[in-house]
Parts: sequence; C-alpha cells; structure tokens
Amino acid sequence: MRVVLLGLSLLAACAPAEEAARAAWLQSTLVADNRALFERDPGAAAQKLAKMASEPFSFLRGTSGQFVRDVLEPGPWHQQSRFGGPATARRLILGDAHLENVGTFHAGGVRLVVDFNDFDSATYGPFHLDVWRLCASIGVALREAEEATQRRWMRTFAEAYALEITRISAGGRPLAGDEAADPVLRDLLERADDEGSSGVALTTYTRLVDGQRVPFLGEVEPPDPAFIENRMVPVSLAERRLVEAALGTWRPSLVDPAQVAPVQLKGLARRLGAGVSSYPLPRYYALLEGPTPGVEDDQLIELREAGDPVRLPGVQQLPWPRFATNAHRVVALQKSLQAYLDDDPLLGRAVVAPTSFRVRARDGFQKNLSVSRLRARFGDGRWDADDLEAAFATIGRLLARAHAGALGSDGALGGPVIAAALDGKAAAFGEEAAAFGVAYARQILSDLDTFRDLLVDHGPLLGYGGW
Amino acid sequence: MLALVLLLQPTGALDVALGIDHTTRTIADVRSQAFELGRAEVGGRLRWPGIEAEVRLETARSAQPQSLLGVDGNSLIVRARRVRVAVTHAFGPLAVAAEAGLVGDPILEALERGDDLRDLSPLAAQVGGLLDAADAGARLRLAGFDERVALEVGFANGEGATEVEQNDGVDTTLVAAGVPWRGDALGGPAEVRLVAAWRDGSRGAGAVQDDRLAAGLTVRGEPGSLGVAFVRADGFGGRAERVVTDLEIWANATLLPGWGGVLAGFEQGELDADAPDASQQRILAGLYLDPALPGAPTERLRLYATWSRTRFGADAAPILPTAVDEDRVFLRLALTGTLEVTP
Repeated sequence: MRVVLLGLSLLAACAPAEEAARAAWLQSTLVADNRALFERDPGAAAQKLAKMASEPFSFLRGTSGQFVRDVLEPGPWHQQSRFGGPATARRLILGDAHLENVGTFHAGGVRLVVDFNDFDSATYGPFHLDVWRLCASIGVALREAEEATQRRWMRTFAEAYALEITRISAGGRPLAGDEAADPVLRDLLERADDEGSSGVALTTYTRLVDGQRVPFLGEVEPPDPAFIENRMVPVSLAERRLVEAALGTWRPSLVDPAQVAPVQLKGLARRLGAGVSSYPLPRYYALLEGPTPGVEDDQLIELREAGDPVRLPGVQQLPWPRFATNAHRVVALQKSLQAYLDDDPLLGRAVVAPTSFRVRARDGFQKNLSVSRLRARFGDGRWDADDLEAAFATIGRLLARAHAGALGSDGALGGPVIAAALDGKAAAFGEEAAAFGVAYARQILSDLDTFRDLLVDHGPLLGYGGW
Repeated sequence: MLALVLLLQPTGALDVALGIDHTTRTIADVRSQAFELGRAEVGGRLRWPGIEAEVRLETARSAQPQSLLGVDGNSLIVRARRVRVAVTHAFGPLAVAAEAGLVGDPILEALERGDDLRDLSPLAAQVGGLLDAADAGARLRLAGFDERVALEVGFANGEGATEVEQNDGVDTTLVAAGVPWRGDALGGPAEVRLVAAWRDGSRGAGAVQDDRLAAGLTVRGEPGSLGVAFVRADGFGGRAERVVTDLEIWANATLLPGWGGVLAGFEQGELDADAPDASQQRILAGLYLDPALPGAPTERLRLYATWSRTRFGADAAPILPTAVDEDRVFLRLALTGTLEVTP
C-alpha cells in the first residue's frame, strides 16, 4: 500500500513537471516559427496568436510546425508509421492537411470540383504526415463526438485513402471530385455553385459607385475584440506600386495566358483578417477589367504573399528540389497536387523579388469546407455520423488522388511508391492513423489550454523580445 | 579610426579553410549523390602586443535544408563565424586571455584542440547540434606551464551564432584542461591531453534547460593521433527533459610521412535517453593524401576518401519504423592555411 501511495505521489509530482516542460517547448517553438512575423509586423503577429487562441481548430491551423516536430523528433510523440520508408519520405505532400483546406474550384471555368486548396506548406516528405494530420483535424473539429465515433471517422478516411491509392496505382481512374454522394460535400458544392453564380465575392468586396465598380473599404464581418475577422483597407502608395509591378509578372505564369485579358487594374485594397498561419501576411484584392468595359464581368483576384513552408525535422532529400521563390513553389506544387491544371485558371505567381505572391481567383466558386458549419449541423442532427463518415471517405480518396498523381523529389509518381509501401494493408493503415489521430487531437486541445496560459503569463508575443 | 589602427603597426594573418565534397549516400537501397562546397572559411587577424582582433567569415547556403528557397535561389552567402577581440597577458608561467564578441564555444574548442581530422568534419557533437560553433559572449582563460593546465570560464547568450537573444538567462561554461604527460615517444614529440567541461544554459523564448557535460582525451604523436570526445546534453531541441549523449572516437596514423595515412572513427549517439532505441552508431574508415605544395603559404592540402556506415535505431530515424543503415562514400579536398603578414 505504501508503495502504491509513493508511486501515486511520484506521478502527481511528475505531471506538473511534464506540463511545464511542454509549455516551455510550446513557447520556444512557436516563437521560433513566428519570429520573422514578430519582427516584421508585431501587431498583426499578436493578432494571429490571439486568433489561434480563440478556438481549437484555429489553434490546430497555427501549429503545423509543432505537429511535425512532435511526430518527427525524438520525444513523447515521436512515432514512425509502419508504412514509412526512404521512398515514401520523398513524396510530394500538402504539408498542412486539415479539413478546412478542402474546398471547391470552378475548374476550367466549366465545372465545380472539390479539391485541396491550401498549398502554402506543400513540400517533399513522408506521405503519412498528411494522413495523420488530417485525422487529428477530424478529432479537433468534432471533439464533442464520442471517441469511438472519432476513431471510426479517422479509420474510414485513412482506409479510403489507402484503398484509393492502390486502385489508382493499378490503373483505376482517379476521383474527379465533381460529384458528391454525401450530403456534406454536396452541400459545399451547392453553396459554391450558388455563391459563384451570383457573384457574391464581387458584391461582398466591391461596390458600384456612379456606374463604376470600386473596391469596398470597411468591415465585411464584425471584428473579434482581439483580432480582425474580415476588413478591407486602402493600400499605401508603396503597396500599390509593389502590386502593380508584381502583376506585370502574373499573366505569363498562368496555365493559359491567352484566356485572360491583359491586366487593367481598376482598383486595389488590402484584406485583413484572413487565414490563421498566414494571418499577418499581406493579402490584396485586385479588381481587374474583364473582357468587356462593362462592370458585370469584372474580375477579382487575390494576391497573397507566399511564406516559407514548415520544416520537416530530420527529413532529408538529396538533393532538395529548389524554387526561385515561395510563390514558384506554392503554385508549381499546387498544380502538381490538384486534379486539374486549371482547377483555378487564374492561379499564378506575381513576383517582385524578394516578395512573391500566390495569385488566385477570388470568386464565390472557391469555398472552404467550414468546420463551424460541420459542427453546427452535426450538433443539431441535420448531418449524422454516417454523413460525416461518407464525406471523410471522399476526402481520403481526394488526398490519395493528390499524392498518387504527383512526382516526388525522386522523380517517381507517388501512387506506385505509396501503394507498394501499403502492400494492401488498408485496414492496418487506417487503424494506425486513427490511433494517432485520436490521441494527438487530445494533445492539441491540451496544448491550446497551455497556449492560452502562456499568452496570459508572457504577453501577446509569448515573451519575444521581452527579456 | 582606421588610420589610428594602422599607425599602431599591427601584424596580421589571413586564415583560409576550404572543403570541396562529393557524397554518395545509400539508405535502404535508395541512392543519391551530390557535389557540395562543404566548408569555406576565411579569417583575418590583426595583432598588437597583447591584443588580437579577428573577423572570420564562412559561407552557408542561403536556403536551409528544407526551406526550398533562399536568397537569389540557393546562393552561397557569407556570414560571420567569429568576430572577437582578445587580450592576453603573461605573468611568469601563467597566461591570462580574455575575449569578447562572437566567440567560439569553449567546450568545442577544447575538445577540438589536438583533433587532427578537423578538416574532414566537425565533431559529431557539433554536427548534431549539441554544441554551437560560436555564440555572442565573453571568455576568460587562465593557462599555465606551457598549457599543462588551463581553466576557462565563458558567458554567452546561449542561442548560437545564428539567433538573437530570446531569454534573460546567461549560459555559463566552465572548462578544465590539462596535459598530464608530454615528452618524446615513438620517434618524436608526443602528448596526452584531457578536457572536462560543464555548461549551465537555457535556450529559446521558453528558457528551456540546455545544459552540457563534456569530456575529452587526445593523444598525439609522430605516427598519428587518437581522440575521444563525449558530450551529454540535458535539455535539447526545446525539450528540457530530453537527454542526448554522443561519444566519438577517432584515430589516424601516418603511413608515409608527408604523403598520407589512414583514419578510422566510431560514434555512438543516443538521441533520446527515454526512447527505447533512439541510438545511432557510425563507423568510419578512410585514407588521406597530403600532396606537398612547396612555396605556397599552405599548411595543409589534404584529400580524404572515407566510407562510413551509420545505423539508426528504430526511434532515431524520423521516418522509418525499423532500424536502418546508411552508407556514405565521401570525398573531400581540404585546404587549411595561414598567411602571416607583417608591415
């Protein structure tokens, strides 16, 4: 009995020490990952951290660097996949896969498809990182669901991924993403169709003044006390010159430049509040003259500064593929990972070294899967666990299509390499991913509590520069 | 200011270290290879009686291994490796030296002293990130009796040469070194050298524990040399509880004086003492050639050809679920030299 009591008291003594160690690690690594942003725009960087602290999914979105450190570096979360290996570590991956990076595109301007839509962290590395992180994102997004249900969703997602990889590498036709049998992705496609067809982006971000279309300036959504949700502000003269110069390099980078009229900039504004990881990065909405002088076919595009990808500790590629700028990387890898080269016909890069922008269409057809909508509709019973499971299976197949069709750093197609590693063991792959996802989602929720305490104790920049 | 400096008629020295590499790596049947500029350093020193100022620059790739891009592609850029001012004074058999600036790591420099293979590669503890090449701070060294005993204390910000201060802690390092034996053996002068060192440190905004314990032994003689270096880290990679150790043994023997010899090495690293198999072992064997360059200001031009096999434990490699071997064939043309300049 005395031994048991001693053991319990030792455990109790160890727990705070482990928590303190985790807190120090979290503080140090978040500062390291955000230091450049702290130096450049401390106000916006502080708002980014505040946004991360506002709710669990935003925290997940801001901590991909902590996820890869946890998985790849020695420590309590260090874990290899039994399906990993040197060849599967050279695959082209999203680098930051989660539910809100699933969205819609008006491919070629003719059909709506569901695809992944954020390639800021696209890089070369172990394929299972994308699967595991997306599993964890399911657990964080739907944290109130029973653990067994979460596990089932994750297993279904990862198994569907594995089966699809095997099917594609055997010559099967990849999922196009333009039809959805489940209500979740069907709802996403329908809403994108409505908003795209009605030109909601143009009506939201521009106004007609005296017969001319001009950028809207002001609050699009009311701000949170600690950060901006969606605000449009005027640009400075220096910003305008930078964007104008950068836009001069954009059109040649398009898949089909002939389909886009020469750039005539009608208006420009800066968008504040978008994204989580990229929250402090400059993001501009440029209003372009469409094919006719009228205001009805004006085009809105977004230029967002392309940042560095997350580093994958210990993962070596010899040699590493190189890109001239971050925008070159993001755009090239987006085209490699998406279903169609013209998922977004306006996808391109705009570069004035050393600044580079990823440029995309800003229309209603591009719509993210919304975790808050997922939670609300699951909470009120409009979508049940089976509906979500079907959606996650489709997302697993979409991820498989992305990995399978992309060339890795070794020049090989992803499909056959990953299929060989999976060796037909889809169920085991699903179990492994689900076990990780359930446990790591809990860690993320625990880290969020720690993170909020750190902000209280050390200030809005986690103590950076305050020593 | 420059005129005043020159008026005092300093002597000077220009140091150069170059390493041009070709690596072939095979890991689990996946083979890759690369040509690289492995080392490029140039340093200038100005000396006045009792005072020395040094600026030493090195090249680095502007894109770090996984950033995928850098300055103008992945250019070689120049950065400071050491920038320091040192003052020395002798009191009979004792010599006191103090220096400040971007100074070398006292532990690393003590362990490297007598390392005849430094131009092949840095110590494994530095490659693995256990020790930094330099840090902003100051050092005070007391040596006596022709370096038979030396004590040193160092203070630094603890973030290494490439980071700014992130917390209010000051790293404190103590180094004790001695030469218990020095004399003639095996046809020439020889000595045995011992080092013990300790660092109390912190790193990052979270002031995470970053302590070090180190010990070293070098034996140098006419036919060759032998070295042992051990470093233990208490706190590493932002984790205070992580314990990392690295033991490295190296030896080289001259086969043909003035022409070349053989070398061998062994490394045992434990990347996480809590993990069941986070070890890595490396064995190394190789040859070196020392072609003479009469008339050049070169101290050494050496061609290394080595083979190494590294076994990563199941918890050491980031991506593999099982232990794996990595084979490397490595060629390096290394040049190190100093050109003395007097007015």
